[in-house]
Amino acid sequence: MADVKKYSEEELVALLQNKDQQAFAYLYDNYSAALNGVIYRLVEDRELAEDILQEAFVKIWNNFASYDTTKGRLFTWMLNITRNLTIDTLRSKGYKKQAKISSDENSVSNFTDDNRMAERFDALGLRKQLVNLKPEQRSIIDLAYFNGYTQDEISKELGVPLGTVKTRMRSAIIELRKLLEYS
Amino acid sequence: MLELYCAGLTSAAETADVQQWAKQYPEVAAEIAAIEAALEGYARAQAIAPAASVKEKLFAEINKSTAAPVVNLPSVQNGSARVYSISPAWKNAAAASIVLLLGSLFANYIYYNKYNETSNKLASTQSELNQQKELAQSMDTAMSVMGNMYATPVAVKSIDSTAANMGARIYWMKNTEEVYIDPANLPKAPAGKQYEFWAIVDGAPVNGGVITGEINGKKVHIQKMKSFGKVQAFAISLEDAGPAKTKPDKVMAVGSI
Repeated sequence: MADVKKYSEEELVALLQNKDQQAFAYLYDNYSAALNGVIYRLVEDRELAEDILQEAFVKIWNNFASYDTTKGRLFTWMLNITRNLTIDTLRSKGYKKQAKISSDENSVSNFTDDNRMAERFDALGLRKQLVNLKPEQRSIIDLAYFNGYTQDEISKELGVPLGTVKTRMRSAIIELRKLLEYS
Repeated sequence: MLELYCAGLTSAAETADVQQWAKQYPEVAAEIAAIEAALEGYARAQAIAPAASVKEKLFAEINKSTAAPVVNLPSVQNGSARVYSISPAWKNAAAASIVLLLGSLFANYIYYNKYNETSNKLASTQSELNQQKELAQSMDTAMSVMGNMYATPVAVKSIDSTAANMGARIYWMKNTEEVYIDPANLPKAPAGKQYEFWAIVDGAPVNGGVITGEINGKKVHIQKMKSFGKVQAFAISLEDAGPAKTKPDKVMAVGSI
């Protein structure tokens, strides 16, 4: 992978809109691990997660024309597709949508022991930084960003009022930005 | 607000607002991008690399569904995709045939409309011609009746003081005993009433049929009635509308041969 060409997000988007397969390979290399992590968090089954990941990338490839750069980053769009597909899959397979609140640091250390974990993108460094986030901040980001919960659902899940959901989410993201800037 | 937007916690209306702001103010767009980048970092921090086989299966899958020109996926990874190109001559030919097809469709549309217009005109001309023919035929009949050497004209005159001017002319053919009536001088029958024609045969009235005053708003000039044997006189009566009666109710006009 060392000889893989680097693209800026604009170049990548332009190439993908032209169905450039090399750019798509780059996209996959660059984002598959992060998306797989999100899916795995929701399904907790490695094989199922990889099946969904493959299907999500097929969707991304086929629907790339509908990606609108003015509406956010590429990753955000891809995450939305992936998350919706995962939730649909869980529903269709009769799984109960489980909210896994990763308040425990175990999950982080477990990942570190895993030899299939992505070592690219300085993931290890980022992971260490996350230890500094408060569990309540992590759980609220997880529920909204990974599980796709609404304010109401988060409020019920965590047993806190709506106003608290908003302020906590805000402070969690501000904290996250601080941590990542110094990582 | 922007944090909530990026975490997907805004309502549809709020989301639309934020997207509008992001379009208007570059600072808002930059702030959103920074928050999204932070969340992306958060996701990356929890990345789990999928098995290598997923990528192979994925590319096999998209090449199944990709259009024909690009083939042989593994070569993409080697950096040399085989691409079948279509020669410019064929492209031009294809473009030209599409232009011709569109032109032809347009011409078809125009000619079809013209054809419809013409056939409508033809139909209306034909029906006009038929009307004229009918008119000419009825005039012919009228002329032949009136001009017939055996025709005996009989004037049927009003016996009703309230309608002194009403009447009709009967043409009785001596040789064939056919009876024609020219009802042009009969006033229009009142609503729910009709005129009926009678012949007086051996002193008794015999019904000769209902008189048709007009057809489609046009006055009838000559109407053939029933034939009788020996006839002494003719009469016209006003009856309730319906089938021809056996006895006249109100005789309006009488004329003897």
